Amino acid sequence: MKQDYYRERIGDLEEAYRDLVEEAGLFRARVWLCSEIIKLCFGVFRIIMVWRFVMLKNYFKVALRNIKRHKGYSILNISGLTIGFACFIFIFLFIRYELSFDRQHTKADRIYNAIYKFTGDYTMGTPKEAHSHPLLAPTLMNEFPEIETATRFSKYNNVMVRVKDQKFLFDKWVWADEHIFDVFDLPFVYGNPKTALDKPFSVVIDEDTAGKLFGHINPVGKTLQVIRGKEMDFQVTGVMKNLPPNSHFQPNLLGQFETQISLGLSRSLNSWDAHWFHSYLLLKKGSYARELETKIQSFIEQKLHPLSSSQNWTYLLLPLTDIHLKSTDVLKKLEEGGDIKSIYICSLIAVLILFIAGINFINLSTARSFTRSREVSIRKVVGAYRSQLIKQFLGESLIFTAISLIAAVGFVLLALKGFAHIMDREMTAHAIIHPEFILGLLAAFILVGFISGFYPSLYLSGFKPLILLKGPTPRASKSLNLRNFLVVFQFAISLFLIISTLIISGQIHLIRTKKLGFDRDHVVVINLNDDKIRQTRDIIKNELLLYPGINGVTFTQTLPTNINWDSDFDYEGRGNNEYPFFYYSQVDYDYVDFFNMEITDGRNFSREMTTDAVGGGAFILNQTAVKHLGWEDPVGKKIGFPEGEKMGTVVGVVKDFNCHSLHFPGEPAVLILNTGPWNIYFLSIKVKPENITHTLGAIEKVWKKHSDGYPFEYYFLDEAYDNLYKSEIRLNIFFRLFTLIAIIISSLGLFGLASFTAERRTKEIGIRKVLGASLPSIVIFISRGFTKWVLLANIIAWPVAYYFMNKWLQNFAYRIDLSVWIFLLSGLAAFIIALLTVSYQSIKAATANPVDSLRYE
Amino acid sequence: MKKFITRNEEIILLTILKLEGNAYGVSIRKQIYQDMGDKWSFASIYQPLDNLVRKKHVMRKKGDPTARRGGKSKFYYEVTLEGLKNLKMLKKAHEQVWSGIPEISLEKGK
Repeated sequence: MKQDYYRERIGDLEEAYRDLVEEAGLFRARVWLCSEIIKLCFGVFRIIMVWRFVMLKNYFKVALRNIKRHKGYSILNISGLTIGFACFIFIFLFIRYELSFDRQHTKADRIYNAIYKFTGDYTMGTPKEAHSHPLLAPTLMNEFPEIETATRFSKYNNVMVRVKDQKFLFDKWVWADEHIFDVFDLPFVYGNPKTALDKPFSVVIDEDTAGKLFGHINPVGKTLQVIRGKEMDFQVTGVMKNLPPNSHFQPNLLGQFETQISLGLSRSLNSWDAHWFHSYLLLKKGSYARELETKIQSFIEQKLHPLSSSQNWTYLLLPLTDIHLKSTDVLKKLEEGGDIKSIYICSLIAVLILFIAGINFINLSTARSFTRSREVSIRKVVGAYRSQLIKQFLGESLIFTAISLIAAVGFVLLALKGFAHIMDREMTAHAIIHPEFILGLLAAFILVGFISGFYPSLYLSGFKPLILLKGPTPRASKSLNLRNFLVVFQFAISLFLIISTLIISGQIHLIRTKKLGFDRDHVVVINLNDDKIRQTRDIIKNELLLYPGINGVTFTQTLPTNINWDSDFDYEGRGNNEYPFFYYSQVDYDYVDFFNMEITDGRNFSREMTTDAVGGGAFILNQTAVKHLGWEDPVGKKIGFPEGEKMGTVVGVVKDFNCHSLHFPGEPAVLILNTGPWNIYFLSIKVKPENITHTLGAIEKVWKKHSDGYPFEYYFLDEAYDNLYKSEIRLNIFFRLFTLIAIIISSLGLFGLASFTAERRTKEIGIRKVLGASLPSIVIFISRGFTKWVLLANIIAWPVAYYFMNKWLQNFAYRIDLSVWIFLLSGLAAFIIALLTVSYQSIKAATANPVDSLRYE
Repeated sequence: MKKFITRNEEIILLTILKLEGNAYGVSIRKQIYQDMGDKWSFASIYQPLDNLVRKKHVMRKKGDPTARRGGKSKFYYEVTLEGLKNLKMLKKAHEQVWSGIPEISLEKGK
């Protein structure tokens, strides 16, 4: 047939050629012939492609038929892979999101945050802070030519703003200088960034705020009132675009810098004593931050230390893009960030889960091989090359992978919101259309499809057709070994995850139940920003105490869960330049009783002792602070702030309590009596556990009566405490979720494997039964193999889990012991899971009637 | 929906019909040149021709070898009943679609 085509075409060409030679001459005819042949070749090429496609279509058809015929197998295989892919995509999206922080600024790689570092050796904590001295930014900008420009701003929390008759509470107001627009990309919708922050009492707001305050009109030129005792008019001079959620710096309103002095918010902007600003430096292109850092440090020692009361400080430069992930040891940041460690953990888990899913795929495909041995043999007999068979099976694995991938993407789109909630991030589905992401998916597709398809295709295509067609089932012992190894590996990963989850949960349980040295149950906390409440604090206290549901009321500067004010201290008998660095909190008379702390020496603050509230005031130290000072008999000794104010008297010593998260060991803390209206930021109310809603209603009534229009927003102290461990609690949820998934995937794989093993041994089991084997003995006989593997998996997983978890626990000053029980328990759990998975199949095989199993063939 | 043949197939089919039994590669090409003034390449004749064969609109018949063809046989093409039906259907559709188009609207295109 093909020959005929060939003949016809050549014949036609020859005839036409001869005609043309007579008509137009030899040369023209030859040129024509060449062009005709080339055109024909294209046609032939097209035909080859068509046949290729026909073959492909056949492979495709066979693959789909196989999927349809072995539904159970296909569901196992595809669902395992889908779950694996979905996890992978989720984690991939999360990591991409975390790494994208603060990259939207065009000069991001040249922006550095000045980090205050305490260099004295009096404290054991982590004295790195994102706060800096007010003069730092302008001083460095003038001194070092490498710095193109620098900006500084201070936070002004909980601002009450009034527009016409409506009041709004804003959390994120900063006082910024005009350089902020040179350092960061803050595009304007209305107004001009060059002049927006020139005049005092001007304010730049973002789009959201503009919408909230003024609706959908251009608000430039309008005024808003800031309520702080009296009302002050601010003029809106610009509207900037909203900052994306993946930015560590998220102000809604920018007030003009110098205005904060007019408001009496900042004492002096020219001091080198206190630090509460955030400073950012923009370096010139081609300058080295490390070099500059050293220069700045020596400059600070020579020029700035003489101007300051303390010499125990210097500055570090932290790249803007590192702030979100690599600054867990820096306190007082603008926003709490993530942790690079969690990124590593996430990537590890993503890869492990994808790995488990891939192993499943390989195992199930090869285990199933004998059901397809006949197909392979027939194909071979009919004349298929091995390469063609490899292509076919690879193609099938790619089809499986593609189906799983598409299902996984669909699942991710549906569940992204929930996942983002767990991870506490505002992720959106937009990231999925990103080219980088699509490339990543493609890479994962090809990698998983080829790697997991490669071995089964080699294995399947290697069958000898004659043996297969003759004999019943192949017994390739070699592949069994590999399969066993893979199952062991899979179970080792699952075990590792189980152990980690148990340890993390245990540690979190320890955190939640640890005695901290103070009571934190049934305490309602309200953040105070309201001067009116501060001024009438005693009246409010008495009014609240009238309610039977309320046991105690106290006003404090910080909550005992996290005392984050710190200072150098001056004390009786101090050596030269030896200022100890303590955490402190100004407190009410009844603070110690309220939180049920234990006085070990001296006495509590007391209203009867009139000396407590006058002069330098009364102090209560914790035991660690006393130890630091080296005092034998602390009561009656003098202590105070170093800025030349009067020294106060130590009236008592309180037993050590955890004034920070349990990441840190016990730290020195000082309680200072405060009876005035200043420096109080929290109102804590101890309520009886019965009838809490009623009591809360009563508190709200009192609040409404005295407050200057601030909304009544409360939380419980244990919530504030849990907030300290946000990242750990999140990690716990994360691990639980992915451990569960890993177990599900591994079990799917094991289930599939067991079913194939049982199927293949149908005959053997039948003979055993006929010869008198009992049901339990057959079940044990089949399950025995799997048991061995799970034991082996334990041996692999234990040391690895021990190593990693030990490292993780080092983050905590107080940690659980890594007892053997955790390991044994997880081993047992894995064993039971494996047994349950396998037993279904083995019992099914063992209860089958031997007549049926022996008859087939 | 009715399945129509393509325009190229239509031209080839009509040419075969016109040649009345003397339709083979070279003669088809010549006839198209005479009718339309275009010199088609053989590749562009065979492609629709093969399609027509596959669709059973055209039958191939082996003829005698000639010296002018280097001793290779000619292959004659004949339109089958199927092909004729399809042509008729095509013609009818053409007439129906074209009917009622006023001359004036064609004039504009000139």
